[in-house]
Amino acid sequence: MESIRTAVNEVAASLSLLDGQPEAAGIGEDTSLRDELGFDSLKMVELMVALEERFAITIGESDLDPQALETVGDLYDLVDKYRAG
Amino acid sequence: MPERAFKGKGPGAPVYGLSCVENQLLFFLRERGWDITRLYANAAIPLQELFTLFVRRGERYERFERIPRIQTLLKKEGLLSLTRHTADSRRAADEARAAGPDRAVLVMVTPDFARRALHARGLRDDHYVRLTAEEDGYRLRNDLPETEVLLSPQELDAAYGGNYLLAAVQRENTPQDDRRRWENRLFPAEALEPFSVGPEDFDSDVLSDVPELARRLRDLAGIYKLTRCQMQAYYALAADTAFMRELLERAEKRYAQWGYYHLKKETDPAPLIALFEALNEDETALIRRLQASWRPSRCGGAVPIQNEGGNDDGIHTHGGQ
Repeated sequence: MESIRTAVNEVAASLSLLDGQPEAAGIGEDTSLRDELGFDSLKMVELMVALEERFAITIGESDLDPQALETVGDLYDLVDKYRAG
Repeated sequence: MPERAFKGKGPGAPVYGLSCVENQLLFFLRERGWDITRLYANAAIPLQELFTLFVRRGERYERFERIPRIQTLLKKEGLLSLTRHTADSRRAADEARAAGPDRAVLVMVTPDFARRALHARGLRDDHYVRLTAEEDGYRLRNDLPETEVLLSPQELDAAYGGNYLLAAVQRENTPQDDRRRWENRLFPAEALEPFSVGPEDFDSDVLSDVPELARRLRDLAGIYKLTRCQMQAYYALAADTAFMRELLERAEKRYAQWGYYHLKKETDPAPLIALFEALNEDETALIRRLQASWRPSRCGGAVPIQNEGGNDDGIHTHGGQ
């Protein structure tokens, strides 16, 4: 579980405003994707594609909804859902 | 690396510009107390027209010009002047330091700086940001995302793209300006009509390059959602627009979905077309509900709006300064 969350943090950090330094940024479950990491809708899509590639999953069309992803914790849930499925 | 902050959404009416320059000017006018929602008069472009431009003709988001920029309109109305100056960064910095509340300096930054330091999407090479002078340097403010960086004069020079825009308010917006803008709308919302579209309307030339279809629909959705946000704000005076929030959320989702299909180079046109048919259904519902709630008695044919404050993109160029 911890390594999956670390991996999600790394992917998020690499595409965020923080130049790939999750430790320095203190990314955690409650980190806001928009307000703290600067993700807009298209960047969120890039993030979802990056998570698909990192975890070898395919996110369903109904979950391609940036508005439903508010925090890094939501990314954990999304990855868990498709890894389990 | 210059000091950088991700500012997040600022206070006041949301800014829904179609370009970086338009966004920056909307921010500037909002700071001066203008009700910027009064400037979205040309928002109600028909979806059918967007379909023709983006799907059939391959228009790109960053080159969209069918709706005149707000700065072009304000210039024609005599409210704003906007001039381009080709000069070194010191000149731009001096302008920023001398600028009072009626002036704004927008500097062009290099593409590399825009992407690396500001995380701007970089769809065009001519990206402009707001330059203001601080006691110990210069602040650059990007529109999307709303990031700020504080630069030394040397760092500013390294980021500088070779020219700057100087915007100056000539006079304040008045109720008469609002009324004239209402009367001269390019696309009156009350005249919008639904249109029918199906798979047969996506011609074979477009369907033969399906990843391009996803990009075209994504770009269409980008303009569509911005203009519908503008409509929600502008037409709140004439009709009930609160219902649009749900439709706008779905439009945002479709924008992301087409963006996903574009990144994945989706080869099956069916899901792309299905999304457009769903968007069109929402647009039809929007038109019907907006027009059903129209309050002509409130408009009287022209909206008596009170101001509470305050390639061709309307820019005159000065060279060699």
